[in-house]
Amino acid sequence: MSPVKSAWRRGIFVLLIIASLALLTVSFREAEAGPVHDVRHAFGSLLSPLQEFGARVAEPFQDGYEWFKSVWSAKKKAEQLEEQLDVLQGEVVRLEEQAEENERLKALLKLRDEGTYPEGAEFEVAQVIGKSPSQWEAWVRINKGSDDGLRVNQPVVGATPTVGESAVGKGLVGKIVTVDASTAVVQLITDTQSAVAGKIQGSRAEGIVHGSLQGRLLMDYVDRDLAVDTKRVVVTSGYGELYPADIPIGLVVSVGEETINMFKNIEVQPFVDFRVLEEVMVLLVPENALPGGTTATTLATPAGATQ
Amino acid sequence: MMERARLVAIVRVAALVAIAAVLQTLVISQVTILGISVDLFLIFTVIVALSWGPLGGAVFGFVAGMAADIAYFGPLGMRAFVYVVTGYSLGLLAGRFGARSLWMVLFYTLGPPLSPR
Repeated sequence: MSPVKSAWRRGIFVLLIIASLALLTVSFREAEAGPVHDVRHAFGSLLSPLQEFGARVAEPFQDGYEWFKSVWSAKKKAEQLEEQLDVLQGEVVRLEEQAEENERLKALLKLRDEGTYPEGAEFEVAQVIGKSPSQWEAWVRINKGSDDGLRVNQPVVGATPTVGESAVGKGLVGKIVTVDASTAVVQLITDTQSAVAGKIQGSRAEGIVHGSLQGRLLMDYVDRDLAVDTKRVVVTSGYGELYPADIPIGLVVSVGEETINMFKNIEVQPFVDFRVLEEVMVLLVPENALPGGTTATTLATPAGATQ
Repeated sequence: MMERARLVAIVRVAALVAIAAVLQTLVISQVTILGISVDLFLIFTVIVALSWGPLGGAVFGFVAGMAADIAYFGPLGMRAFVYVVTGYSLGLLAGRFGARSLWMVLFYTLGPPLSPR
């Protein structure tokens, strides 16, 4: 390229730069009513109808793009919320379980604080980890054993949430019949092999509370001539060297008599609902505090329970 | 003959600027992608600079910049200045290094729109 042409090109370029800067300066310094502004406004007013028309024409495309964008973000948000929902549902289940466990443990504490137990008695709360598989036997396995101070024949009490805050729902569960280092088997009072010396409040009638194959709790050896009303509370009498006195057992629900039988037929509704028993409390009663003050004897292991 | 060629060039520039103004105003400026709108005036300036050289790029950049200032209601002369520098520089670069390489074309095309932002 010739030097003249190159100089001409550079000259034009410099001229355009100067013109641009001059226009820029005028544009900033000139009043709103100046000629440069007038020219710009004139061209601007020519273009503004085009811009309005363009805005209307482009609106569907603009909205379409926004629509796709919002659908995409909504989908992502929905996925995130579904994940959060799964987590929260699991959390709700866990919290509900904890709340129910809390209620049961509070009921156990109330039973411990309000009950009349031998002096020096301590308590060991244990969880039920297994139950007897058939109606021929009634026992539960708990997650505490000899390492926790449990021994055979220690009484076990419990609370179930089905009946609320009243005394009902809390009472005698049974006794320990088998114990190893970390678990123990509790024979329930509804087991056919179980026998608890009890008395009926109000009449002071005494007898033996035992289980039956039908799963009912019966009270035997109550003389026919003693007046016994239904809805009376049955508690442990303290005889028999196993259970401390005055632990609630249940309510008298029916009283019957037979001419050939010298004792009444009494059915007792246990306070504890054994179907929903999840926590129990073992009474660590000092041996000398038990009625009679002697060491309790080991009873037979219920069928199905392992030593 | 020279007069006719000059006239054709002027008509071409005017037509390109008019097309850019109409398309930019009607459609392009209405649609943004991730908040960025395409600047057709600048793209045309780049194309002209690559095709016609630095002088053509600078002259077209000036006219297109003026049109863009009017269309965008910006200070008159601002874009004209930027586009003149862009058109002239790209024309020089294309004249020296050519535009045969894909990378060079990409550099010419994407560099100017990104640099002012």
